[in-house]
This record gives sequence, structure tokens and C-alpha cells, in this order.
Amino acid sequence: MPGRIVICDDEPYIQHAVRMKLAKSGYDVDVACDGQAGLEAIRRELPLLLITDLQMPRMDGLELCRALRNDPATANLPIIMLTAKGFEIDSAGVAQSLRLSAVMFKPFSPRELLQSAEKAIAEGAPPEPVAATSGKTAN
Amino acid sequence: MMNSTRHAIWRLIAGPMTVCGLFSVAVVYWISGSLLAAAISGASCLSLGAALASALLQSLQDASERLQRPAAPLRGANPSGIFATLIEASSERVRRAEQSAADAVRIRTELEARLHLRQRLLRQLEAALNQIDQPILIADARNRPIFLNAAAAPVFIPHAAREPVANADEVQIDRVPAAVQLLNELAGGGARNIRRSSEFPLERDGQMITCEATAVAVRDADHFVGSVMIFRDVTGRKQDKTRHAEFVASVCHELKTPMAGIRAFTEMLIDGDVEDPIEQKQILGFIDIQVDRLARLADNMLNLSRIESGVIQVQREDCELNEILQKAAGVVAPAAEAKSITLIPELSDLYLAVHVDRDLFLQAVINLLSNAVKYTPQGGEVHLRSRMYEREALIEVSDTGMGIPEASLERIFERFYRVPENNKAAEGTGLGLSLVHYIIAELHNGRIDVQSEINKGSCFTITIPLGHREQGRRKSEPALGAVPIDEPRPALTTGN
Repeated sequence: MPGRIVICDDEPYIQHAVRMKLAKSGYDVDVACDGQAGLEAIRRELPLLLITDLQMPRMDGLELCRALRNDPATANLPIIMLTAKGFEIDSAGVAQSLRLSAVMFKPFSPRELLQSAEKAIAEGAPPEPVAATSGKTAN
Repeated sequence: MMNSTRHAIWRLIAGPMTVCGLFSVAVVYWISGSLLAAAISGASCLSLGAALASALLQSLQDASERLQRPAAPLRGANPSGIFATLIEASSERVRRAEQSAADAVRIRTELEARLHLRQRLLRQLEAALNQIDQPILIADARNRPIFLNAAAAPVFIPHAAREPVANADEVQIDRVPAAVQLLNELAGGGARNIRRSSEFPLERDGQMITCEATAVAVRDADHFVGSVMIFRDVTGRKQDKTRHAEFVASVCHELKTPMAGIRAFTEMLIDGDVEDPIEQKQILGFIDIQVDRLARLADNMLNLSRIESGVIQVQREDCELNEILQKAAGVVAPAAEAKSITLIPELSDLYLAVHVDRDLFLQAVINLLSNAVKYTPQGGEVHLRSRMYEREALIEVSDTGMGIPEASLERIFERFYRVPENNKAAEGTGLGLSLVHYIIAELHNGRIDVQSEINKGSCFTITIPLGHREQGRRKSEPALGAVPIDEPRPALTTGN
């Protein structure tokens, strides 16, 4: 029983590709072009999943995820980060500290993204790490 | 000859001479009984005595003069009379003594001259070392500082200014533990250990810098006699490396974004996710656009490096400035429209004749306009103005954007530099403004200035000489140090 997914990316072609792939599987997809718009879309109605870019104007992906985790209403929203960054970010650290379901790198496979999205929705957000690492940033 | 000597001789001779004279008078009178004979005898004795005394005095005088001037030639056959042998011997000794004294004086003079030269050389060396910007420290074999140049003073002497150090005892070498460690390594490292380097943070002129210290062992006949250590500020080099790494990451990010689109759409076509033929065609169109974007990025990167390295040909020609500006505004208009930014050209009514490379100048104006659009929030304004001021043309690109912090204003034309506060606002390579600066200042004898106010906006002003120039001359002129290339120049692109 698919539901609503929010995509947050400032690149129109990426938005289009992800939306097509997810819509094909029956998901209702909302697109936001920066972190601030994404946050508003999520607060308006809690989706099943957020797929967000890292580098965006106004509010970047890290700030968006932190804002979501700090709000009890969205603290357990499954999140997948989709980034064009590479080794310059500590993806494992970011994933752990922000309880991300997955960090995927561009160029990405929509097929794998869909699989990760379904897995994330099924499993929910990862639990709070034992050692308090919240607030740790990638950089 | 001194009078006292003369009197002494007279006294010496007068006594015996008087006794001899009286004795001869008595003897002659007793033998001959004649007073006359006795008187003659006495007179003879006195004359003889006087002659003897006179001869003795003359000899003494000669001897005295001779002793005073040992090098002078001897006078007459027997110049020094009865003291000749004595004088000759003394004279020889005096001559030798005088020779020794003269030699000593000559050697001393030579040594003084050499010392003077050495002292002057030392002063020159010290002055030269004090002129060097890099701190230099010279230590003896026991690692005690024996010389410190002016640049090293603030590093090793508390509260010291950058001035020549008169007293090496004030030096606190412990202030830089890394320097002590280097010196210790050199001193204890044996004959093979001649050079050591290390990099460490250091406070200099109230700022933290990255310092590279190199210590070299000084050896004299294979004995370690000390070390010389030079410190270099490698902060810039480190920053360049960091910025270059950031630049490469930024370029990769720019490349990956269109690649992501291509891969995603291709995979979806392969997987049969797009069944509608019209939609398939649309997807292929998207892929085509992304390939174009990749090609444009690659071209742009290539152009940047070719322009900056001076390889690209500069083709200055007579142009009308407003025409170029209108074209630049046209290129940036869609991006401005997408962000609901009003792009307002306010071009001069005058015909502004300039002599520029049309493509490069267009590129510079486009870069400024795209930056203005990138860093201006939705609904803002970007103005493009041109006017004539004296014998120059002024081009202004102003916006109502986020502005540039003062700390960044003087650095924004540096390669790879991106304003940290505005970094998140838009993608960029940190090369756009450095390229604009290069095109305007280096290739067109112009100037570029910037004024900015946070949250109010920025204004970039280009100033270039007015006038159509060098008409009739060859139209192509390579940049300084440029290697002209035969291949056609690819169209310059904005890169974003």
C-alpha cells in the first residue's frame, strides 16, 4: 500500500527521474527544490519517506535532517540521502548521527533507489545509536 | 751627545791628565833643573790630554749618531774610531730589532685591514640576513643560538619587533619546540645527518601560520659545529592545496549531477519503466540535454585552464560595448527568469567604442551576471549599467543579493576562493571571478572593483579604456607568453 514520499533536490532532472521511478511503483511523490521547502512539505503532512540531496540552497540536506530529528513529530521519519558528494563526506558518520536509512551517491541507479526506499519504509528509521553522536556533522 | 756625558768624560780625563802633567813637570824639573823644560813638559801633557779627550768625545759623538741612525752609511775610513767594533755589533742588533719592529707593524696593519674587511663582510652578511623575510636561526654545536635575523626576532624573543637582534642571549628557542627537536636531531644524528625538515603551526605577527622549518648541519673538517635553520611560511601553499582539493571536489560534483540524470534515465529506459513512446522521446531529450551540459562543463574547464595558462589566443577587435552587454544579458535572462529575478539593463545611449576580445569580454560579463543571479534571492533585481567616464567605459553589475562579507572582499578574485558564508547558496568552482579578473585586468588593461553590503547586495564595476584602437593592424595578438594554437577555439560557455 504505497503512500507519499517527499523528494528534496534542487536539480530538476533528478527530481523528474526519481519521481518517475517512484510513481511507477505507485507512490505519491512531492517534490521540493530546497531544504526549507522540503521541511514545510514534511510538516504539512508526514510522508512515508524523505529522499534528500545534500547540497541545496537556503537549507542544505544536513540542516534539514537535523531539523527533522529534533522535532518529535518527524524524529523517526525514514530518510535516504542522495548526494553528488564523494569521499569528502564521512557518509557512515553522517548516516549514523542522523539515523539515515541509506546514503546513495550520484550517479545513482533508480532501481537500487527504489529498493532502498521500500526497505527504509518497511524498516523505519534506524534506532538511536548507543553512543550519543547526535549533532555530529559530515564536515 | 748629551752635555752630562761630555762633562763626565772631561771629569774622567781631567783628573789623570792633571796628575800626569804635574808628575811630568816635577820629573823634568828634577832631571833638568830647567823651569822652561818643566813648563813645556806640562803643556805637552795638557795638550796630549786635551787631544785625547777631544778624540774620545768625537768617537763618542760618532758612536752616538751611528747608534741613532743604524741604517745610515758609515762616515770616513774610521768613522767611529775606537768604538767601531762595538758600534758595528750594536748597530746590527739595533737594525735587526728595528726590522722586527717594522715587520710587526706591517703584520699588524695587514691584520687590522683584514679584520676591518671581515667586520665589514660580517656586517653586510648580517644586514643581508636581516633583510630576508624568512626567519633564520644559527646555533652552535650545543644548540645555543648564536645568530638570529630580524624576521626571527618576533618568533624567538617575547614581545620583540621585527628588528636586528643585538643579543642572542635573549633568544628563547624553547618557544618553538619543533625547532628544538630539529636541532637535537641534527646534533645527535652523526655525519650522515645533514638536513631535517618539519611542518608545524606557528604564531607570527599575531596570526597562526603553517610553518616549514629546514635545519642544515654545519660541518667543519667533518666536525659538527652547529646548525642553520630557516623557517618558511607555507600557509599559502597549504591553502592552495586545500582549495585545489575543494575545487576538484566541486568540479566532480558539477560533473556528477548531469551524469546522475543520464544514468537514471538510461536505466529506466532499459528497465522498461517508460512505455509511452512520447515519454520515451522526452526522456531521450533529457539525456541529450545532460550530455550537452557535460560537454559544456568540460569545455568550460578546458577554457578556464587555457585562458589562465595563457595558451588561448586573445583576439581583440573594435567593438561596441553595449552590443556585448546586451548579448550577455540575453544569455543570463533565462536563469534570472527561472528565479523570478528582474534583470534590468540600463545601458548608455552613447556609442561606447572599445577594443576587446569579444568572446572573452562577453564571458567576463556573463560570469558577473550569473553570479549576481545565483546569489540573489528569488524576486530580486540585477542591474547591468554602462556609462562613459572621462576616457574610460564603466560597466556595473549590481544586485539585491546576499552581499559579500568584508573579510572576503579582498579575496574573491583569488583562484578557488569561495565566500564561506555564501557557499551553500549556489554551486560554483571558485574560478568564475578569478577568470573575470584575469580577462579584465590582464588581457584588457582594465580594472575590476567590488562594493558590497550584507543582505543589501553587491556591485561589481569594470573599467576599461575607451576607443577603437589599432585599426588596420593585425586583428590577432597572442597574450603574453602565449603559444598560438591552430585549432579553432571552442565557444566559451558559462559553465552552469
